Amino acid sequence: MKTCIPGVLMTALLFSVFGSAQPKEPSTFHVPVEYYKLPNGLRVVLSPDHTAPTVTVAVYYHIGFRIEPENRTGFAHLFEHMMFQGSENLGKMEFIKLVQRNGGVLNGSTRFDFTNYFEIVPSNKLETVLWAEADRMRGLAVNQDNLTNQQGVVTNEVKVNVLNRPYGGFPWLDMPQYANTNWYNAHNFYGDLHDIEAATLEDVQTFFKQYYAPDNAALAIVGDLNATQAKAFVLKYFGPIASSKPPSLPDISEPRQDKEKKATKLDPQAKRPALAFAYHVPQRNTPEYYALGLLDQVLVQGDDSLLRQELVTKRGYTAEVEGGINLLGNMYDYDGPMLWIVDLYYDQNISPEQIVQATDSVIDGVRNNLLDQPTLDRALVKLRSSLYGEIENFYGFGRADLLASFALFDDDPARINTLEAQFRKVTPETIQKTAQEYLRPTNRTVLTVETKPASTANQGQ
Amino acid sequence: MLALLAEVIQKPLLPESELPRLKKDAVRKMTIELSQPRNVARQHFAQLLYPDHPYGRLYPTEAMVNGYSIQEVRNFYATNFGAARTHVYVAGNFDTAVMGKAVADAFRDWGRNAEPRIDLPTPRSGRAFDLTDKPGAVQSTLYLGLPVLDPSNPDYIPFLVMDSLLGGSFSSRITSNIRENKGYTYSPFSTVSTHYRAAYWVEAADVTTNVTGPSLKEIFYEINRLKNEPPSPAELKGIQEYMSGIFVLQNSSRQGIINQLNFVDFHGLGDQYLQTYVQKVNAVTSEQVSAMAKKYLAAEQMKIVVVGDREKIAAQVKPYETGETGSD
Repeated sequence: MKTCIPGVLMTALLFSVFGSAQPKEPSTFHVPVEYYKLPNGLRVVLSPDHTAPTVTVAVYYHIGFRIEPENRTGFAHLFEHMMFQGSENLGKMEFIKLVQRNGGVLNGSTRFDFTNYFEIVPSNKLETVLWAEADRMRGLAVNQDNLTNQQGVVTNEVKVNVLNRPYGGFPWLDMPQYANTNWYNAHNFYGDLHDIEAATLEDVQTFFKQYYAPDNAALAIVGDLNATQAKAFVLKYFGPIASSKPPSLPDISEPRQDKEKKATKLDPQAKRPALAFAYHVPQRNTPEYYALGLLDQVLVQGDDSLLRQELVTKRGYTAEVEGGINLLGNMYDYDGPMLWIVDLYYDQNISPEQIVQATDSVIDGVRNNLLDQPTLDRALVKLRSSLYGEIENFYGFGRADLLASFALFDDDPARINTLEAQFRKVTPETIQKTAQEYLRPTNRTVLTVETKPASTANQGQ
Repeated sequence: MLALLAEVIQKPLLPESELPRLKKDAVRKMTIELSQPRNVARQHFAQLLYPDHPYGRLYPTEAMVNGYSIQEVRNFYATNFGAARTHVYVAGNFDTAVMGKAVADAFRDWGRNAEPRIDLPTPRSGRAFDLTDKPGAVQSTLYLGLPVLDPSNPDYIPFLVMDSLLGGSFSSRITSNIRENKGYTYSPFSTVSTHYRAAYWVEAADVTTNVTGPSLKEIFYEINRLKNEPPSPAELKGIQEYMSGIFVLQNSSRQGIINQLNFVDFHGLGDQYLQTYVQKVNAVTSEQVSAMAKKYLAAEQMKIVVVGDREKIAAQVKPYETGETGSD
């Protein structure tokens, strides 16, 4: 699925300023959160915001690509596509047309620990969208033609995003396969084409029965809503759906890594080498997790970050150092083992060893020394800015993403208002302790992308 | 913050010492971008449309990048930057008087410099076809389109409605056909891309190699069907409602508001444009939609770019090389 919002050409100079001309007030940031559960187990989060006359509806199912069936790689994602193919009262294409003719946009995505479906519509269309989402939670009505069609679409999706492009899958799809050891974390989430093609209608119905039930889902409604009215709609449409006791999750834990791993991928379509490194991160919501969030800011986010300063400005190895915790979302919307991944592209005259050595000189710095307070303060500013950006992302969808994730994973969406305080608690000592344990070379995987030999690498200009 | 940004914009150092690194970065970035089939297709498509104009040159050559001196960079800044060609937009939650004064203080002393000067392109006339070989490609990347009207033309909004219905939205005809019916592709889309007093329409899709020809056939089929049969009132109404809703979304974020204002300023459309947009979208008739397709999507003017495995697709795309195929 893909949502298109027509863009417009931008040529003039832009300033977008958040807040008042004099930034002060450290803690006025507060997201309204009303949380409750229906008798069938559906977790419901309401968060009013009357800035614009739009409302976002997001349904999150607690089934991500980690725990798809072992001989069906890519199935969770293929299944996501099937949710657009027909339900009891909405035939093929009708869900999409319904949302669009009500002036809205929609999409779905499959991630590590959830699959989501969301719509952003004018606020007077809330009831219509809730009815439609409830209709497909109640039951799928799909046939073999729909499945065959979406196998074609998904196969093309894998081709366009991975197989028919240089650096396809690097590093977001590749790295978990090299860095992790537990199959649930280490398989090809997009799917082997043979597995995608082997899926049957029976697989589809079984998966639906197992995981697509109100007691395995969270519904977040964000935007221009009236809470009393929204609750009545939710009860009316989702209340009658039967719960189904979803299966307990398998063991998705990763053992502590104690030896550095190295991998090379030959990419005949690539014209320049690339390198990524990844470290397993601390468990979510621990002090070390928040510390690593700040270390990410210190090391790779923004022009002042230490790795950028070293690799871009000082050594000139690359133009960009990119990365983060959970490249398929953000550091908040997952629930299990995760990687902090950093990647960069460089020229053939630089060796991977030079890059790793330069990286180590920076990482050793934060492992061996206490971080100075101004750097930590700056990291906190960047982190808050990034968190606000995340919450505002895509017309209210970002806020729904965090609320639904926290409802599903922590049974506590109001956590959204405690994050800042948790980051503020992080001291230079916690930073150093976290760097020493988690930014160990032995907790690291280094993946390099190699191009064809130089004699043929420069063709096709 | 504003003062800091204003200083960087008005008094950049443009140090010579950084130039070699930035050139190297630019060449690397360009090389990597041009290894992506989409970008190769975009580049070739632009060349076909605007052969003798900078709009037709999306990427410089490596020699061009390496040839620039710091003096040329500084001259470019001196010639092209100044108050007369700069808009400052601020959107968000602030005291207008305080912000207005802060902007005025920050930019008061900046010289006007020359007014913007934009050379208008002369697009290539007639059918054109370009196939770039990508041996072993599992998909063909298609760009099919032509120069069309720009936003200052009164037909622009009816044309946008036609585009949304034909290929510019998820429920559009081309997407329904080649994705949801045939399964040839994942993310086809059409769009109107605008320059100052110039624009082009394009349908782009990455399709499985063995259905390259059939995909082109279906795209032309949908274009021709729209030319010949006005859409039903229900189908048109659905698209109009969609566009009206999107307009609300576009105006509901700070960046969205800035984008809208900048679009209006850049094309010189006047305040009325945003005030009457929804009304005009909803006034378009089924006959007008067909008329827009007829008037602006002439088969004999189509430029077709294909990036794919020549050996496997040459025969499939052969019928589309000349203007004979795909005409009404």
